Amino acid sequence: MMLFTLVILPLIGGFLACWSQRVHQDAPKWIAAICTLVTLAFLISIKLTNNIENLELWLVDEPRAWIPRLNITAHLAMDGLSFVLLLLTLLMGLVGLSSAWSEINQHKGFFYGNYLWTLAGIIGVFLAMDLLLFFVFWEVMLVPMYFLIAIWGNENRRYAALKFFLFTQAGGLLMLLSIIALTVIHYQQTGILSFDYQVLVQSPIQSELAKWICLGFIIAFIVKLPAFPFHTWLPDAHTQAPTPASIILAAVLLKTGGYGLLRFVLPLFPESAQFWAPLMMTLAGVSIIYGAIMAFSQTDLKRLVAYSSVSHMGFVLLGCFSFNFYALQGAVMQMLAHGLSTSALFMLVGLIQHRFHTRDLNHLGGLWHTLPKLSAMGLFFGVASLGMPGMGNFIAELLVLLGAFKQAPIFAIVASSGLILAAVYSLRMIQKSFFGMNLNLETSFSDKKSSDNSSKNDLDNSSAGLRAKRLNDAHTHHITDLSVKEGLTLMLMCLGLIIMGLHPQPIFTLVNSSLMEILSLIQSPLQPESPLLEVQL
Amino acid sequence: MSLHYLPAITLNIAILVLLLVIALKRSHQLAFYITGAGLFIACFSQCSLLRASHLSELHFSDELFSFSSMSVVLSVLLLGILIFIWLQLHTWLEKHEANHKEEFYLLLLLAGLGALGMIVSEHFASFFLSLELMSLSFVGLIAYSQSQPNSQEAGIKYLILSAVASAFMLMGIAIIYLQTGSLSFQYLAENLNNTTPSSMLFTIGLIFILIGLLFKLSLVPCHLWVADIFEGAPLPSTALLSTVSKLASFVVLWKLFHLGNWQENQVVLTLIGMVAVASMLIGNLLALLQNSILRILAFSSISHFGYLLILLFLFNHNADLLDNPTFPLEALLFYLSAYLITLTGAFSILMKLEEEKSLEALTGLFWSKPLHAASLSIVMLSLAGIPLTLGFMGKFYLVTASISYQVIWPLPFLVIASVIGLFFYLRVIMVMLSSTQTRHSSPSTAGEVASLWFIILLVMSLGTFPALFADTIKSVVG
Repeated sequence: MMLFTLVILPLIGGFLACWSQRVHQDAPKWIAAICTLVTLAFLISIKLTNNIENLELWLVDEPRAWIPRLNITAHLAMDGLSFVLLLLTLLMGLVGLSSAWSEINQHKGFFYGNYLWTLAGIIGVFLAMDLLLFFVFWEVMLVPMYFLIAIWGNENRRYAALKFFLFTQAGGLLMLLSIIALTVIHYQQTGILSFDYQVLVQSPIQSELAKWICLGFIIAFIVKLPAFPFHTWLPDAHTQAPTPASIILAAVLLKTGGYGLLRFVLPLFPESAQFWAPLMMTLAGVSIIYGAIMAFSQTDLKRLVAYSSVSHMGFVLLGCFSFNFYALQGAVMQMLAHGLSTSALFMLVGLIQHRFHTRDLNHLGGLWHTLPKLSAMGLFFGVASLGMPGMGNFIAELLVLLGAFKQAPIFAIVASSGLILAAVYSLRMIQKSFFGMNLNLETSFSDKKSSDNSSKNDLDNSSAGLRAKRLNDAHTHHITDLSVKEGLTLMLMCLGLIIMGLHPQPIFTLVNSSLMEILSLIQSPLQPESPLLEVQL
Repeated sequence: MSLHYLPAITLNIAILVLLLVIALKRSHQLAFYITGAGLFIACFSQCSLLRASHLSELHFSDELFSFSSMSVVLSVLLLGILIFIWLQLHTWLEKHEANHKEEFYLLLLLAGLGALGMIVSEHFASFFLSLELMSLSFVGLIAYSQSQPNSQEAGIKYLILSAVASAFMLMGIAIIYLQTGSLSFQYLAENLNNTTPSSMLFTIGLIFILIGLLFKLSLVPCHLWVADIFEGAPLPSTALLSTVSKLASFVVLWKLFHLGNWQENQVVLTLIGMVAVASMLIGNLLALLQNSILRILAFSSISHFGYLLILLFLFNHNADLLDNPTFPLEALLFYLSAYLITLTGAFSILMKLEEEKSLEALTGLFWSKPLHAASLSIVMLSLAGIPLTLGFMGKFYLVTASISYQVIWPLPFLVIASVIGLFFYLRVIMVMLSSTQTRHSSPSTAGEVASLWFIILLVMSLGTFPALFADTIKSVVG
């Protein structure tokens, strides 16, 4: 029952949080915080009692009959890869809570309930070993997320929530068809009816349909990732979502797509994955370049960060389809580093929006004078996201490029130009918001009510005289810098990124055995590669 | 005389007693209790039949009717739906009907009896009589509300269209009789195996009968009546029409398909295929921009029966990859009961809301009546087929069955239709989420709260832990 507890704790916590609003207005957020902490503590205690770093895989493994009619089991298991991602989920859950603490004032109980249910769903996705169970978690985590965006989001929240839900559901339905087709064909070939990953993985299906089944899985995952043609939901969802939901979305929800590719597509369809690899690598290259170019041309800070996510997740896709140990390590690292850096950026944007009621780059500027601490953090995470050596993102991108270069040099070259573009848009963002003319003071007044409508008009009439007048007003209107809690959260995330950048080996040690297993499954039809060296950085 | 007739006899007795009571003394309470007693005894006797004897011994047939474990389970489902609607009928009638409340129960029982007859019919005569008994009761049920002109209009529409459909069906039956000289389903099934089934006249007869059934199921070329009638009729009548009538009609369609070896008739198959695809897509497309929740449910029911039609292709289809010959039947029973339970839930939630008709009336329901809104959202998610609800398990069974029988071509349409469907199911939820100012609302009674929780628990628990339900269905079918 240990792993079930991980899912059930936030589930029950969500109901408690919903109910507790009747007792006290502030009770839900305390319950949410305590519940997340307890789950985190439980996860770490599982880790400490069972040594996952051993060679033995799938350490905590609990099959249990769920729908015996079709031999569907409630099978949860955890290995190093899932452990690392679960850790990320819960830590980012705490970060999200920290940013929700003062931002969410309406329907608190329902908000924290949905928040915890989303976390429960994501935890389930990372643990499920039965394909149908995986699918159930995969779909179920969307419903509370949909509510988070549709109720507490910004102006255009309904449209964004709907788009998010429809995109991911369409992908999900394709995956459902693929799962069933996979099971049926597997039964036809082996006589074993099972939805269990570990049964299915032992005998990859040989069928003409395998390619298309594989494609069904891939589409579901790259919609979530998101990669180029399916990315359009992401900027909308990020822009409209409340900051805590943005953080969860960027830090964890996108990672489920990468996790799915690593865990299911590569081992279950070794040959078909090879078949689709050129296409997927092309999509990855396009995502990297296109995301970066789009990020460059955005004026909305959240949209900018969202497009930068598209670009960064392109590296994950590239890494997954390079079929190479370094690239896989890089993909996992990229998921973790991107989770940290992007959620920190979203949190910062949320803080800026909270203070100035705008996210428009044209309305911001010179923040360094007013908010030195916040701007310093912004600079740090901006630089981290452009892949500065010494931070986790650098290690990740380096490894992906290294691995991809071995497999397909052209894609690696194309992708590495994404690094330059990342520098361009990150520096532009830093330049425009934290340095330069001090424009933000006027916006804090004029945009209080209409944050986005006036964006264009304001630019025209923001003459020097007006600005001077508003500078005087600024002294009466007090804008505070980071509070201790916010500062502490961001500092810890900085620390995390630096540790990942300077000493990534513990993380690699955790995930190596899982990645080895994935790679051994995919490379069995190919010629065995020269013995893999562990990367010592 | 077999014990199998007991439920129908009980209903008959209840109807007669009710008639007498209404003639002697009008009392809403009394009518309510008599109906309830009739339904409960019928349901109980049906259940005890399932319980007492071994499942394989449940087969019993005579000239007109035939009973099997499948028909027993379907009857239990039917009676269960009737009981659930009956439970809420009293408060609803008190609120919405000024005078003459008692006859509603009479018509309800008659419609129920007709549907019960259709489920077990084994002969065109018994089938047609039960069908007419049900249809004519529905005319009364739809036009029941004397204060509302819409309701009268809907009643007349249904009367005329249903008469046309019956005429088609009679014509079809006559043509088949001309060919074979028998009206018994059993005889037809045996006879058709030997003779060539694809004669022109026979096909025309089949298509005529199909048209009648498609009308009752409101599948696509014959669907134009459904929205107006759903909107015009009193809410409990709509609920009955969309559950009881469709259940009975679909069972007959399945029986004809199952017995008559239509699988070999290419014309009929093409026709059904086209109807299925068109129903899935057009039903959901029409529902997209509706502003009344009843119209949305009407169009969504078109597409749900479109999905169910896919299953008809699997019978007698020799491409079973799972070595599981009864699986299509299980899927059919699962999907049908999942959909009908969810839909009954949806209607009974709507019956508890005061201004139920337009979508705007639901604005901000989440903040004024959270329990109502939560249950309605769960029901909508179940209709959309989101996991952890009953609707998802139904869809999962359906897709598994059709993939394992290699009937792949309808599945892309199913995916497209589901995504379109999601749009309007979410729209209902979206409307309930909007407008944050809380309105004044009357407090809910204990019974209301209990039935809402019952709906939530039923839909969620059967969706989350379907093992027992799946095993029951397997043992019934197998």
